[in-house]
Amino acid sequence: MRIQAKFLAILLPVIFALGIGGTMIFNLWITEASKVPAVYEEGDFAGQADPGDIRGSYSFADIENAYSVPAEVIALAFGLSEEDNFAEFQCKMLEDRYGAIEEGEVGTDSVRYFVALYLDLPYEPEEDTLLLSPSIPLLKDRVAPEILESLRNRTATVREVLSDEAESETEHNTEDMAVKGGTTFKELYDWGLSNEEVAEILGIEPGPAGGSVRDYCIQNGIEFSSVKSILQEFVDSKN
Amino acid sequence: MAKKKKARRIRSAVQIAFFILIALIAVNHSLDEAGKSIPVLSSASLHALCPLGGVVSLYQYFVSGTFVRKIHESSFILMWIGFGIAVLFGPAFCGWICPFGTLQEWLGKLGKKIFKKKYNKFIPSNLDKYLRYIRYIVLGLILYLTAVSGTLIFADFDPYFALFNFWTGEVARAAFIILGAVVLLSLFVERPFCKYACPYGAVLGIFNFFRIFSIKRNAETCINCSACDKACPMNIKVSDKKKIKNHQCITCLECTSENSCPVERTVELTSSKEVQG
Repeated sequence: MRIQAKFLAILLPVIFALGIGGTMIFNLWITEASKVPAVYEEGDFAGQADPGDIRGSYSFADIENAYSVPAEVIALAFGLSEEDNFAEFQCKMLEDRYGAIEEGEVGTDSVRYFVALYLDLPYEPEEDTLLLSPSIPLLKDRVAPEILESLRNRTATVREVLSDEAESETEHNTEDMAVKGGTTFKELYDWGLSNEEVAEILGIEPGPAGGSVRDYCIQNGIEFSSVKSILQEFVDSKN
Repeated sequence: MAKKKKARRIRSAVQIAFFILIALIAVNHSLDEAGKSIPVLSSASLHALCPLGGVVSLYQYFVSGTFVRKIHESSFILMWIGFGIAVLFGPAFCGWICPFGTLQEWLGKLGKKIFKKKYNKFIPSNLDKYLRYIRYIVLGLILYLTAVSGTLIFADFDPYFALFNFWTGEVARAAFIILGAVVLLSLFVERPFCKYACPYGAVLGIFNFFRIFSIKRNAETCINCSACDKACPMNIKVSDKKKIKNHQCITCLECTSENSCPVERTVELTSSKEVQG
């Protein structure tokens, strides 16, 4: 049997159309991740969802559904607010928001690493993967002290990793960076203070990222007015 | 001669159609991420439409039942379609469908105008025949590294991905450099990436040894003019063989009596044992 060009020209697209169309009919033509993560095959964690399978296209809500880590917690860990619509925020969008710095970058692998640490599951991050400083208080009670200590080398402040565009936007808002009664720990981290610096100023470990600094001081017998000015000095020095 | 031009135009039309289709889908993927896609048209990522993604996922799929990150069922389906076509016609995917091969051909036309008869003859054949196996090394490396890492290692070096995603910010610098090199080399050599580096072409090339429809030459009617040799973009010497069993053949039909061969029914794509003169 002889095959001519005109026959191939018709046959090849038809084979593709039938192949794709046929699999569409049976719902086999899938072009995006199912959002059902792979599980650990063996070991102590067999059967549990593997954070290493988090894809760039996963939104924080997808992660909440698959791994039971609240989207709000992930948003806090990565310096996002409600304005960012964090439930729909996709992991890969972190790479756009935060540029790479010399020490590494914040992206999808950072989310995998954070989720693994938060759930105390094994995961080996890429060499240049960084976490953001607001994630440290969230992990404080969930990981061993030596792991928390080792995270210091893998943590950047929001300020350090903000992309040029976002940085210039932030610069316009430096006048808003006033430490007030309603200021939260997350805001302090967003303004460039590290967890350690806040701890040093307060004399105790900082409270939850979303909590008010003043309320936390009152609860712990610290005079807010005395630390407020020091915190403000630190904030000003970093911006 | 008009008939021959028509046969060549038929393949060009198919190539253009697939090139435009893939380009539109790539643009639509970006639009979709921005929340405003073109209706009806697919907004799949380029990875989801890459049959090589299926090939590099094979190991992980059989070991753990999952796909390599960024690869989905669609890549697997396209891989099997590509294999099905290759069983019948060899790497016709390369010669008729692949938009990256098409781009290289377009640039090659410019190269032919610049270098005339010297075009596609810069590399000595003694060296060239060994260089053609580099793509199998590339394939082996990609298969191994993907199996070990579970990530789409090739994406960071993929000039095809760079071509259709250059505006997205997702393309690695190495991929841009390789794309630039391929564009430049295409002005000197016909389809340089296909010949020396394409891992998918390497896989499909194996089918040339047992495909059902092959390029065959009728030695009795052949006038030994070597028009078929000159026409072959992959520099295969057709004129001294009865049947082409070369891993580099892309079934473009340039050598056939429909295109270059001046004698009717002498070089053909056929399932018959011999070409009927």
